[in-house]
Amino acid sequence: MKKNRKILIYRVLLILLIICAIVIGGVIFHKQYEDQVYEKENKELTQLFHEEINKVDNENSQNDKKEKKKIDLKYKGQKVIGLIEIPAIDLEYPILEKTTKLAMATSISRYYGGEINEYGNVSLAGHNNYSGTMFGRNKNLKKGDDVLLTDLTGKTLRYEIYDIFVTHPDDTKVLETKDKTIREVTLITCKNGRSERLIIKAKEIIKS
Amino acid sequence: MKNSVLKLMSIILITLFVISIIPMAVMAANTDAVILEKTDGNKIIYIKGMDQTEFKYAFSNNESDATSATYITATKDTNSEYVAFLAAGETYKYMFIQNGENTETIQLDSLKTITEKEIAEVEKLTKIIKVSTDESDSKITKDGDTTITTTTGKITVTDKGNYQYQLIEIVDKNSSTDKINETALELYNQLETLNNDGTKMYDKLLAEITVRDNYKKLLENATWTDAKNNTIPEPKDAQNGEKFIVLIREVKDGKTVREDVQFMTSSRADDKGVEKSEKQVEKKKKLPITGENLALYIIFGIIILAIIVLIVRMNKAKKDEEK
Repeated sequence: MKKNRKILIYRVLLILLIICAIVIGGVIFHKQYEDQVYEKENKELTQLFHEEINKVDNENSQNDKKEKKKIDLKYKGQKVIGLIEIPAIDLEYPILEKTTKLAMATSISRYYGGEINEYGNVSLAGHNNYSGTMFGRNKNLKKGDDVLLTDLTGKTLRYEIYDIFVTHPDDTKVLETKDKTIREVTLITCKNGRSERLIIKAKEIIKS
Repeated sequence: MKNSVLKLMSIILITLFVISIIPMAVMAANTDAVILEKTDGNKIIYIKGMDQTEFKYAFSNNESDATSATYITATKDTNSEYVAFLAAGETYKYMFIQNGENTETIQLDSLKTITEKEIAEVEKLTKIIKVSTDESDSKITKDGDTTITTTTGKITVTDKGNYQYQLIEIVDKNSSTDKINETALELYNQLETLNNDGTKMYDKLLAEITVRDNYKKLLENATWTDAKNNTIPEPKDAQNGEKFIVLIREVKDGKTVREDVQFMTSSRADDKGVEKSEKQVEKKKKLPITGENLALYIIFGIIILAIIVLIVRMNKAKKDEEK
């Protein structure tokens, strides 16, 4: 009798655990699936960004006006404000206007600062995905690697990584503009789960 | 009688002829000199180009005494340059300089003179009123959609007091039509000469005389502007690299307390930025969460492990039951 009861309890526990595994497994699988969907959408958006830039470039080169035409793209309700490329880790993403939960899930977004390629520091945030998407491969970057930012007028500027360090989530000093006469970009992603942040700083390469 | 007159006339003619072909004293050629008056009244005369020549000299009030004067050999001064010496209280109209077979005459009252006291005042210039020239101002302006950051230099008077200034542009000699600008250019050039090591005393004294005279002329013609917050800004339209003489004076109760001169080189730089964002981004207290939630994966792993353990225990329990 006792043994029958023991087996019954095991069976109930097993069913409960299986249900939990299915639910959690489903959530994980759904996230991975979503990541792949967003990756595909990002690639299409990047393609569209390049096409729009080409159109704008042609128009801007034909008119003498000081005011350059800009592209106007939106994604998931947010304005696309530029494009980031990091050749060393084969990264290319559109940059969304503001960091929100949805923006973080879908692409790279601006967490703090002005427009892309503006003087001062602009901070971009991206997930540290284990699949290697978004900023998941930023840990492979080193000083001297290039970061390319393209703004809405189609201008692409080259930035060179000059500092890589880990800091705590309260360290908002990394967002500050210390020199208003140079263009700088700060890339932020998580490290050690969510307990720390990997910060990568790059500044514009100016040819003499 | 006729023979005697003829003879005398012949002798005079021949003498005149001989005199005319013999090298004679050249009267006041291109020789120049400056006089340094010492504190004790003695004068040292520096002859241009003769600092390494052991020349001879003499003084007189008569120009015709050049051949009959008693010549003194030049001596070396503390800089090992040959000089002429005139004692305090002695005054003459002419000085004769003999170098080998050449004799030259200089009119002493035509020479420029500078005293030791004046030299000390000239050498104090740029150090009388303390200034700082390392600072700059930045101004941001908009040109349509372009933001321009203009950085300009300035001079800041670091001594306490009320100051006034005048800026005078130093222009190329060929392009200047303004006498004041030419005076400023000369002052600037001569001050540069004073800063060079190895300058001969003649050149150095001449530079000091020029600085003294030009500085005085510029001060006499100055129009003064108040230095707000003791700051002397670059002219608004100055281009990078343009040079200026800056006259500065301290005033107290309407009277000039002291004066000085500085140089300013315009260091204007214009930086054009891309369109500035009008967006105001709120201050952040924390960095964003940018990592995948490990907890889910860990819990999933634990559940799988728990399922395996449970299956093993169930099988064991079943086997025990069958026994």
